[in-house]
Amino acid sequence: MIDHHDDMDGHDVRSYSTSLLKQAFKEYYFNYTAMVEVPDAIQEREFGYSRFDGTMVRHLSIRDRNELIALLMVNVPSDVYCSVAYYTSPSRSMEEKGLKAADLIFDIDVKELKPRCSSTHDIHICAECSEPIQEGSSYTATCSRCGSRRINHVIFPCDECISLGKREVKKLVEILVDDFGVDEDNIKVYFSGNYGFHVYVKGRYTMLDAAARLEVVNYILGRGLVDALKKRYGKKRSKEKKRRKRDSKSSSRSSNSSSSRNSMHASIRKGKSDDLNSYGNGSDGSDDVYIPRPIFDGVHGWMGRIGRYLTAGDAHVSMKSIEDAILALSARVDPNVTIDMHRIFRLSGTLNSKSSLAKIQMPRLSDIDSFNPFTDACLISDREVNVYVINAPRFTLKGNQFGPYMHEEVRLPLYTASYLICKGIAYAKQPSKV
Amino acid sequence: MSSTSSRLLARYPFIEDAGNYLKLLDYRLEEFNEPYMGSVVDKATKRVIAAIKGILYDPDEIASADEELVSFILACIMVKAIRSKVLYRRFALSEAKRAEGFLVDDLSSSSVKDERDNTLNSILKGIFGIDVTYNSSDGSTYMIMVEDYLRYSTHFHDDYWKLVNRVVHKGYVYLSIKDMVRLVRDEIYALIVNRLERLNVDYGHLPEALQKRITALKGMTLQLARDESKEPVIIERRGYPPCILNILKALEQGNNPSHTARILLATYMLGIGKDVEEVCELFRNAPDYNERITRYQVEHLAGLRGNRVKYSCPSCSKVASQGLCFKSDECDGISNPLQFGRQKKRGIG
Repeated sequence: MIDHHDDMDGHDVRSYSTSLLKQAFKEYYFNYTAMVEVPDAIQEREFGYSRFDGTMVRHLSIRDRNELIALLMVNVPSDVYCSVAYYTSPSRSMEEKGLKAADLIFDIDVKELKPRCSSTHDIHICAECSEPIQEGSSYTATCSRCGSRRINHVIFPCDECISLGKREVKKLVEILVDDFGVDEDNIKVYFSGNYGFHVYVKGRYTMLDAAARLEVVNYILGRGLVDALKKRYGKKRSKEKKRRKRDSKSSSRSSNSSSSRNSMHASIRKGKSDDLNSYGNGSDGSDDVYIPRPIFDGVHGWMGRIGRYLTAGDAHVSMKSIEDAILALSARVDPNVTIDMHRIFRLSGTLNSKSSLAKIQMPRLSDIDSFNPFTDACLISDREVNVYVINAPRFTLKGNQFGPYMHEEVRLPLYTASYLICKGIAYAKQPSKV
Repeated sequence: MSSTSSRLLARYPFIEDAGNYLKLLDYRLEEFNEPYMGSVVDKATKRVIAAIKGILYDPDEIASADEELVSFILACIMVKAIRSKVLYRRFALSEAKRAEGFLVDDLSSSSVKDERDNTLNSILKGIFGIDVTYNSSDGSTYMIMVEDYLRYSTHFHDDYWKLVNRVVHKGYVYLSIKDMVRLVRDEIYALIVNRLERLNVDYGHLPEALQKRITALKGMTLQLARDESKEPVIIERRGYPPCILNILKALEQGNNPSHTARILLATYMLGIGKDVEEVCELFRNAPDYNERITRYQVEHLAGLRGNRVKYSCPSCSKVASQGLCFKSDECDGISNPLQFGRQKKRGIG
């Protein structure tokens, strides 16, 4: 959102920028009414919205599409939300709403995937004086101009970052279909409008309570598998450890260093043992636990998924390999979003004030690879306006390249100007003209 | 009554509403004074004794449906007349364990198909609403829908029951017979408690044959007198956040909150200044209450034992990640349950 900057003439640029954004958002809602999704059972949903001044309104109930569109046109919100839950009385207080059910939702935040490319395109600016910060992260840097340590990290996602998010979406969908038996028609995938994806599951899982949702999300994250395997195989491992210790003591007393047990361990480490019940630490003293490979074969669910991922042939699998497999196969969703049944979630077809891009649905799951948020979700008009850009790297919107900019006034299409203003790195220097 | 349904009633007498059944068979309580009813009264007494002793009433002693059912109802009447909450729970547990044994037997691959199907339909589907499919290709596995599994498994604390550690495929969880039955054991227990609660008899005018037995059984229950003498703990609920209220409610109803829920409750109560005694008292209604263990755990959390570190109440986000958050409008603006009642915060995303 917009930070407070005073331009050289001393005018309050915040109100100019807000006014420009409001105009851009209003034009969008006027031109793209059809994009705004009317949620199913609209009368059972709680709506809420944020204003450009940062205040928020919640606990609204809306009767139909017309009322929803009127709310957008009259209030021109910066962000619009709709509950994932279905309530008997959505406009009442939380205790009195009467929860009936809730869509099962998943949030994939690309930022949490820590894309390697972020260092090449993200920028940092001082939150106090807007000075670009050249080095260091937002946690360690200090502004060279004013000495402030409050640094804003401004994300400029690229195609590579978005691909990371898409990969997680595909893994999530695979688990939902294969393991949870969800029909693909009941899975709705959305670009969040900024830096992630939202996945909704309609139908049979809407009745799950928060505790059950936690189990589902832990399943999708593969959380708890390693602990269970360690519990099952690690105990004997510690017995093995003691035995090995004893063996090594006795071997130091005698010259018999190649006991049958030690040779068994060596063969386990090399994956050559035929004894499926034998496992233990590596003789190098590492804490890794070895699990018999066949337990992953021919079964469904997580164990089968890991089995298919692991290379065939080895009689035993190290815990490290299993952890790697889980990391590669799990879908990294935000657990807190899934378990919060009372959450109000961004409404599809509305604009995200962090970027001015729209939250939009993939028409088909198969379209995800070809989806380009910087074109498909960039729907603000292209009439040109003047803005002052503090700092921006090179970036692409609607197929056009922009930047880099550094403390300069630029004439830009409204969609680009809005994008930069929303990120807090540009502002309008004069009142906008309609 | 068909042979199938009588077999089911003999093994699972709690499936029928006791009061209804007595009316249906037109039993009058005075009849139990008659000598020909002696064996039924004996059987009922044995059931209660098994509960008092905490042992399993011999499953081999299974008689006709009528005898099993009526003895079960008489045992319920005796338990209620003895007026011991501890016996109440022990009796329900004893009968639930007995039924569990029959269920394992009925669902095993060696059981007759009709008997298996009948148990699946009448008990698991009919009573608990779980649609169970017998996996004939395996012979020792049952499939239940993920949402049915989660409805019951989320009450268990062990990693073994976590969904991630089960075989899940196409919306079904695959379970062994033993696990399938364990999943519903607590529900059987709850159902028997419910049957006990609904039973309404004029306890002041019970037939002499029953009164005599009740007097004798009361003597046997004396060992449980310490617990019996105390009324169930009624907890003052005002001013607590909903996550805490939810655990208090579960305890008040004699339910079994998870380990993490108990830690939350104890650390919260210690955090608001309750002493160890007061906190221990809150857990007295738990079905698995053990005063010594509870005191040890609470003292540990209070920093009086072990490494002498006082445990702090978990944050709201931690509580939410444990599935224990039931936030209301009043929770807005707090990040720890101890801050309940302060500023506003909204859950948006």
